[in-house]
Amino acid sequence: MVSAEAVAAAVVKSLGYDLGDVVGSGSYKYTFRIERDGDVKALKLYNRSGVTARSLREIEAMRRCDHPNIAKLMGLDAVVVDGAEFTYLLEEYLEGGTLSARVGRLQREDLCSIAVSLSDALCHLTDLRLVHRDLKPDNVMFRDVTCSSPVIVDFGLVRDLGDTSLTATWLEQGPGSPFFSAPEQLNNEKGLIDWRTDQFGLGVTLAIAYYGDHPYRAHGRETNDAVLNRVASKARVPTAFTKRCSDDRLDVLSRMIQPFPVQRFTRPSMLLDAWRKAATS
Amino acid sequence: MTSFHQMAHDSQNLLEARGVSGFAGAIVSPVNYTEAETASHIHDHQDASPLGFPADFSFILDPQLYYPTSERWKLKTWPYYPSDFDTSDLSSLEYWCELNLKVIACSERLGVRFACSPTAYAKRFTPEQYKFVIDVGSDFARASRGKNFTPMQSVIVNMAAVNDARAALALASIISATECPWVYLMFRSENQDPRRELAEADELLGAMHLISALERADIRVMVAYSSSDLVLWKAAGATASATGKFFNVRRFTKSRFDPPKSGGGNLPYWFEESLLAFLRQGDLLKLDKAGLLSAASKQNHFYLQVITRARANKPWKAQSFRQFMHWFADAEARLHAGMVTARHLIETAQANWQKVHEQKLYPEEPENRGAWLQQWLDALDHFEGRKSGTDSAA
Repeated sequence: MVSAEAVAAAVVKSLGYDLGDVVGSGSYKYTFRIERDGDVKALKLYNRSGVTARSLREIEAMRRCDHPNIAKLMGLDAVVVDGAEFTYLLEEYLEGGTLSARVGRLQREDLCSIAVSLSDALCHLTDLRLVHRDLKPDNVMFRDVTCSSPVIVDFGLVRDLGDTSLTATWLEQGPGSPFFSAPEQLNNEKGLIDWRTDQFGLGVTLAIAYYGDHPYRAHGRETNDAVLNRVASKARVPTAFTKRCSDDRLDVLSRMIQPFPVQRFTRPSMLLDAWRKAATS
Repeated sequence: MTSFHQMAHDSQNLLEARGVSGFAGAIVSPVNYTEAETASHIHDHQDASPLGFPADFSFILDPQLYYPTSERWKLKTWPYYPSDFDTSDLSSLEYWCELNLKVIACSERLGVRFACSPTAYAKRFTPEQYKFVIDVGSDFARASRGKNFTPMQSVIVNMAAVNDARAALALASIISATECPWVYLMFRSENQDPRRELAEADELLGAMHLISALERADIRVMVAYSSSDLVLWKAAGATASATGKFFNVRRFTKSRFDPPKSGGGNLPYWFEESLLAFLRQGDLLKLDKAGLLSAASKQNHFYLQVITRARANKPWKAQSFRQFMHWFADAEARLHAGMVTARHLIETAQANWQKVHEQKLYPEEPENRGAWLQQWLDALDHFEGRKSGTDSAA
């Protein structure tokens, strides 16, 4: 079996880059930092020969996107190692790390700045009829140490609303990282999946980034399973969180994570306007 | 002023009728009129506007493809009507997108101010079916961009499946994905006679939650084929409601398209606000004599005409339609302005029904005893949070 490092080495050799460290890995791919004369890129290798239907959707989605707060696809090719073909992507390398690394350390001003940028990115995705379905702090990265340039990455679970679903209806849960998923994802209610599903994921992501915990955790000792059960059962947002948001003039955040999509912002432009208003309040 | 006249068979004369001018517009009926006839009504009405009708009177095109084969009449003459409608694959989005373009072309020719997305009468009401309807409506909205009318999302709602707050919010979540700024709701009740009041508290509550959720999501709601249930839709926050010659324009029920099993379909009825009920001639005369008619009824433009004719036992069916429609527009305006509340109207009607019982002034129809009002009040109590049981997420 060929190792990811061996494949990455073959890629950088063909491109004339130097291979750096592994900077991320997931179920489907490895990410390496590569560099040539100060030009740094992210090399993403699919860890199986051939590309799955989901991978194709990820690639297609990224090709269609053109937004400063969405990861840029800079190249797509394949390399043959030991007779097996491996597909790889070249993306912009984001030096500023993930939002996960900044959890609990954001100022209100930073939060609003990030939220405005990412809401604008959701407007773009919605125009393209794309739903990311996996928004979480690990999938928001930064170009630099400031908070001015957050970028949505990893479109592995992207759904094009114009295409048929790849998820079986009989599955109990649809794709997504459960801790950040909307109730309709947790319950695999495919008819309810649209941009507002991303709005929920972004809301939880921002809430965790700013307050340090999941907004549906009613008290500190509650387990993650209990939190997920509360989300999946479409219970009301805990009053303590709603009050905290209200006190901080961040009501926009509690509306984003309402249990039913109709209770959230109806249009991405409305979400963007609400964050712009919060930023200046 | 957000009540609309839902046109039906032989109702074009009501457009010009004095005393029913409190309507913001009319929903044209392709089932009953050809495109040329409809164009003529719109043209005539525009000519008539300077004589006293509001200048911003709006015509709405509802393509009415939900009518069953047996009752399509003139619908088949409309250019958008697909000759293969009964044999086509109606689950094909492409098919509906093509149809959308034809409805849009027709809307432009007619010069209507609003047009409803086409929709069929579904055999089953599932989330997938609703989502499909919304996909069709969103395509209709996109294809209508730059046109001189506002697109409305048509949705036929199966009330039995929206019988609690959670179900209503789930459906509202699907509907609110539409790209149309308005939703044209048609409530279908399985268990109710089309000529009787809706009387399932749970279904009414679900419908109210649905309306409320959509309005709070900045989507304007028009409840089509309404009747006295207008009071509940207004309490829920509906921007607009539509009605017509009530006993001809029936509500959506399973038996809506069947001929009436019992009498009453061809009789004149008086709508009485003090009881929130429809009365036959004998009932009207009894209640008038007993002093139980409401002030709103006595101020109704048609009161004197009707009561005079009824006392002389002369026919008053034409006035009966107008009397109800006058009440509808007037009540809508008062509810909208906050001059009266749904609770006040319902509680007053209940108190008056008590007097009817005490004085044994029972209406002729045995099912007309005001029993639905308790259901309405229960729905309103739950909706307003006066009774427990409302789901926490609502």
